[in-house]
Amino acid sequence: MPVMKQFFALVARRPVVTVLVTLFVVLLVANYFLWQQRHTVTLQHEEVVRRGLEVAKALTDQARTKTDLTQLQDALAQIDRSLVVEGEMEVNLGYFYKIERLSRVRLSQLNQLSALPGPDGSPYRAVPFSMHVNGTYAQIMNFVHQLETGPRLVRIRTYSFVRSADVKSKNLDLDLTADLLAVQ
Amino acid sequence: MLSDLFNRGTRRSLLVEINSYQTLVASFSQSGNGTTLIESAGEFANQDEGSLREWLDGNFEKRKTWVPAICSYVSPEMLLQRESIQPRKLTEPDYLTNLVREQFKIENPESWKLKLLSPVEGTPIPPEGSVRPALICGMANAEVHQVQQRMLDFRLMPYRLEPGLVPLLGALSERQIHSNDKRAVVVVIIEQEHTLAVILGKEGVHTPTAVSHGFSSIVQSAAKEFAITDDAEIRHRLHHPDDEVMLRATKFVRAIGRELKPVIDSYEMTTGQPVGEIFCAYLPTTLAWIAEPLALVMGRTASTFSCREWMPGVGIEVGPNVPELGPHWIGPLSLLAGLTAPKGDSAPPASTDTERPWHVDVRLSGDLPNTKLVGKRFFAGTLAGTLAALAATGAVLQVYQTRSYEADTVFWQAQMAEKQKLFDDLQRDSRVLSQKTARLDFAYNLMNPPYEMSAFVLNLGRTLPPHMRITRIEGSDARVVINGALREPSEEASRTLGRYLDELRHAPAIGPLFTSIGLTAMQREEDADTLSFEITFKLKTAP
Repeated sequence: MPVMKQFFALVARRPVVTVLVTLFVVLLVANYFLWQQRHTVTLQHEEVVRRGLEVAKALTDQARTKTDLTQLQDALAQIDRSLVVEGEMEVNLGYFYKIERLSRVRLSQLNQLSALPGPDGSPYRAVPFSMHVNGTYAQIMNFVHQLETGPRLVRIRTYSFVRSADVKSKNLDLDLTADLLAVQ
Repeated sequence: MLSDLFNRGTRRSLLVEINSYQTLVASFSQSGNGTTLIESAGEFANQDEGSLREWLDGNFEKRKTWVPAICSYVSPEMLLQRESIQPRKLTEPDYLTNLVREQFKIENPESWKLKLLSPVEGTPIPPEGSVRPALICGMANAEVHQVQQRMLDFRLMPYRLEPGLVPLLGALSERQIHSNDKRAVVVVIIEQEHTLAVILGKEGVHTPTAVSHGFSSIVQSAAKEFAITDDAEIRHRLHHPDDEVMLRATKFVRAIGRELKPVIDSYEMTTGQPVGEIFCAYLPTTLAWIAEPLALVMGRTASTFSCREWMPGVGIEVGPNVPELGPHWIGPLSLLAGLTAPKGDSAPPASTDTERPWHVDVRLSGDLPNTKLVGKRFFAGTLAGTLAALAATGAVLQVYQTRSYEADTVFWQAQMAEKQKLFDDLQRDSRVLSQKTARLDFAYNLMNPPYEMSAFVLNLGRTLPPHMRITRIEGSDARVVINGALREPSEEASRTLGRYLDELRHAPAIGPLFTSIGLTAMQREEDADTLSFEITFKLKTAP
């Protein structure tokens, strides 16, 4: 192998350069592996720092989260207390009659309508009611106000507010449909 | 030691001759007056590189630098032929190579170092003039390269590399001129398988065809004569001749002499010049006995050329510690005859054709290191060192960064482990919060009214202008429509309605709830001063 012979002769003539070149090549290879190791460690470090910052931020918001949760639980408890059950019609209608009595209006018609199913995943549904109310302006406004601010959650969908057909009377007629929040 | 101190300007150089039998080396220095002083000399078998290296180490202390060397190489493959040439055609690039290819059957003369010398004066032949004889001298580049590389391996810098036979012919020619000898001299070079005779006569160098018997035939004859079959043993006996060998010497060389004799005779017949001495070149001391019987067989006399007598005439002196140099030293010493010393660390000069007669430098200058060698080596070393340092720095930096990241990662992990329970609780709370918020959102979306009806009707009543009466209010998820009547003259009623609409739009409790508030109907009633109207409120949250 004359090429090998020449190579070894060259190495023998240039020992310092040979050692340095060999060292350079070895270090180059070592650098490659070190770079890979550093890359892996850097990724781990970035991940840990990211998670650490998340923890730190979460811990900073801890007090607010606790407060929010307490308030939310109160609100939900209030909602749960106001829920009606669709099947308990007598109770549901009785709620309206109770307000009728307090506001002194006359509920000439009161019907519980079929409820549509609530949205997917919702624990609630809306049960609709229709009613015809007769009374003075003040009585009717009192009735509506009590309906809106009463212990049940009510949403008035439609209403028609007209003067009574009896010209001599100062009464008003109110046709109203309203939803009550019920359990699903 | 003291003399070295005062002779710092004088640099010792090396004389080397490599021939078929051995390697001759001599250290020499040159004084200001041009005298060359041989300080030490040695003879080594060609294969004995260890002894040669040892001798070089002993004679050249600064072996870390290049030792300038004058080299003579005697190659059996060397081309040395007298031939008629047309000097004018030497300007043609292919003339000489084609001539060599055709005349001497050399396949690839382009890879040969070829020189033309005058066979009489030994000077280069200028490319002019008519047909004339020339001595074509050449060596294959591959062979030259090999010799050069061998020199470099010994850290010898070839300042000259000459085919050994040419300067020897020069030395013999010079001696002939000085001794006024009219007879021709035959230089016999006994190679292993053939013998070459070169005749140095009045018309210059003649190169008859080589004869096919060489030293091997002497060995064979001796083996037959002594009935020894072992080649090494017979060679050893020939190299250490005893009386018996000397007695039968003529028999051993008869084959060579018998073939050379007609060649010599032919020369005498052709030129009319008598042949005098036979000079056997390159035979080592141990084989020097061959010259006399060979001359005897050829009917001539052996040369009495003595180095001791010749050297002072060509400016060569021998140091006190040098043993007597035999005739085989004339070859290498002829390279020093009239030589100008190589100067210190200067670059090995490129071969020139305007050099001394009978001297041909066949070095391949391109293959040799030059003065920039140190620079190149320094540069290569510096570059390699810098790269290695950079790579080392990079490695250290990467290790440092890796360690630093690892330490930081451990710190963060410890911090997180410490807060992990708290964080887990918080995560659970957050999940509960999200679930409950979703529940609240469901309730809000189902039951959130766009406005509070009782408040809206009351606010509407508060904004009513005088003479206006509301007869109907209808509301849905999309809009609110109010119908009413205004007891005013038409023109005034329309202004009142306009103002009323503006008031509604700007009322803080009403305006912001709707995207538009507008009059959608207006007509006079039977009563001329009453105008009925319809106002529509479009809710912002209308589907």
